[in-house]
Amino acid sequence: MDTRSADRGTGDLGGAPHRIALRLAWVALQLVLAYWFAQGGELFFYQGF
Amino acid sequence: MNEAFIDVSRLSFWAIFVTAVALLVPITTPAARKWAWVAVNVAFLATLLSPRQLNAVLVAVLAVHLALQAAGAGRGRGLVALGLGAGTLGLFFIRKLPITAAELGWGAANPILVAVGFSYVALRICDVLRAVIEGRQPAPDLPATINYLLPFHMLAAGPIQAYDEYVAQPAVPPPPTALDTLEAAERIARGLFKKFVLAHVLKSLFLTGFRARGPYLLVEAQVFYLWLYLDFSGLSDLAVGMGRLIGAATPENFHRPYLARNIIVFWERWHISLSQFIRRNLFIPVQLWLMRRSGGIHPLWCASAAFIVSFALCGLWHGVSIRFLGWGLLHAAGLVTVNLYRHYLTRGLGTRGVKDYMNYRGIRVISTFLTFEFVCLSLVVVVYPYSFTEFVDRSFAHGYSFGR
Repeated sequence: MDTRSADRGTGDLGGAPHRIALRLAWVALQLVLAYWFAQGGELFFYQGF
Repeated sequence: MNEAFIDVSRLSFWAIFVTAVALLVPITTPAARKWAWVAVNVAFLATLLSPRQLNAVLVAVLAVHLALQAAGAGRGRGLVALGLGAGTLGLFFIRKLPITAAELGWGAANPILVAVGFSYVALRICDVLRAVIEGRQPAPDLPATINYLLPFHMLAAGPIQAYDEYVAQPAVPPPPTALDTLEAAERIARGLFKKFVLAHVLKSLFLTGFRARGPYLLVEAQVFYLWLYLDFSGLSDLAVGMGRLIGAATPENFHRPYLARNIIVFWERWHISLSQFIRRNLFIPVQLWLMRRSGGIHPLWCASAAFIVSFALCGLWHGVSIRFLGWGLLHAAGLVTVNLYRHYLTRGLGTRGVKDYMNYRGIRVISTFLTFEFVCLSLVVVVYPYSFTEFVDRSFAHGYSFGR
C-alpha cells in the first residue's frame, strides 16, 4: 500500500520504529564508510597483486 | 562515461547543498524561490571558478537568454537557431578537443567548460532552444535560464533534464515530509556508498587500466562495466536525492541496466536522460524526416538509418575520436539488429508467439547475458589504451599476467 499521501505533512515515517532505526543506521554506516574512503581510506586487507 | 570534474567530496559542494536546503525549503513565493535558486547555483560556480571565469559564464548565459528571448518573440528564429547552435557546437569542440583548441588560441575557455560540465549544458541548450523555436514553451526569463542550464546538483554527471519537464515542475514545491527526507537521505547515502566505497573497492582490486595481458582482459571488461555503473549511477543517486530535498525535479538516470534483455531495453535503462534526449531530439526527427522523404514505404530502414545517425552522434558526444564514433556505431548496429530481429520474429511467430518467446526463461537468461557481454566488450573499444596490433600482441603472444 502506498502510504505516502496519507503520511504527507504528518511527520510519520511510515514504518515500525525498529525498521526506521535500521534504515537510519544503514544510512549512517554508508555515509561513514563513504567519508572514510573519500578521505583516502584504503582496503586494509589488500596489498596489491 | 564522461569523467566527473566536479568533486562531490569537496566540503564546498556540501556547504552549498546545505545552504540550498536551508534557503529554498522555507520560501513560499515563486519569484523569491527562483532568485534564491539562482543565488545558490551562482554561488556554487563561484566555488569552482575565478571571478573572471565566473563573469565569462554569466555573460555567456546572458547571451543564451537574449537569443532565446529573440526566438520566443519570433524575431529571426532561423538566425537564432543557427547562431546559438554554432556557438554551442564551437564551445563543445573546445571542451572535447582541448589540444586543438589551445593551438587555435581558445585554450583559456577549456577549464571553464570542464568546470561547468559543458557536455551536459550543451544538451540542455539544445533542448530549450528547440522547445522555444517550436513554440512548445515560452522563452525562459533570466533566472529560469540560469537555473535550467546550471543546476549545481546536476553539473557533475547530469541527469540531462528535459526543458518541458523543468517547466512542468511546481514553482513552489511542497516542503519535504519526514518520509521524503528519509528517502532522500537514503538515496544520497546510497549514491555516496556506490561511488566512494563499492566503485572504489572494485577499481582497487580488479582494474588495471586494461594493461593486464592475456585473458584477464575479459574479466576486466566485466568489472569495468560494473565499476562504471556504480560510479555513474552513484552520482545520479546523489543528484536525485539532493533534488528531492531541494524541491528541484531531477530525472532518474538508471534502472537496473545490467538486467536488460536486449540493447534497446538497455538504452531504456542506462543513462536514461541521455537516451530520452537522443530519442526526442535526434532519433524521432531523423526517422520522421526519412519517412516523409521516402513516402513512408520503408519504415524499418528509416528506423535503422535513424539509429545509425543518432548513435554515431551519441558516440561523438561522449568523445570526439574514432574510438567513440566506433562505440556509437557498434551500439547502433546492435539496436538495428534487435529492431530487425523483433520485426522478423513478429512476422514469423505472430504477436502471441513473440509473447511466448519473450516469456521463455531460457531465452531471457541467454539474451540478458549476451546484452551484458555486448555492453562490456563495446566499452573496451573506448577505454583500451593500446592499438589493435598491440592488443593482438598482448593478448595472444605473451601469456597471462596481471601486468600492473
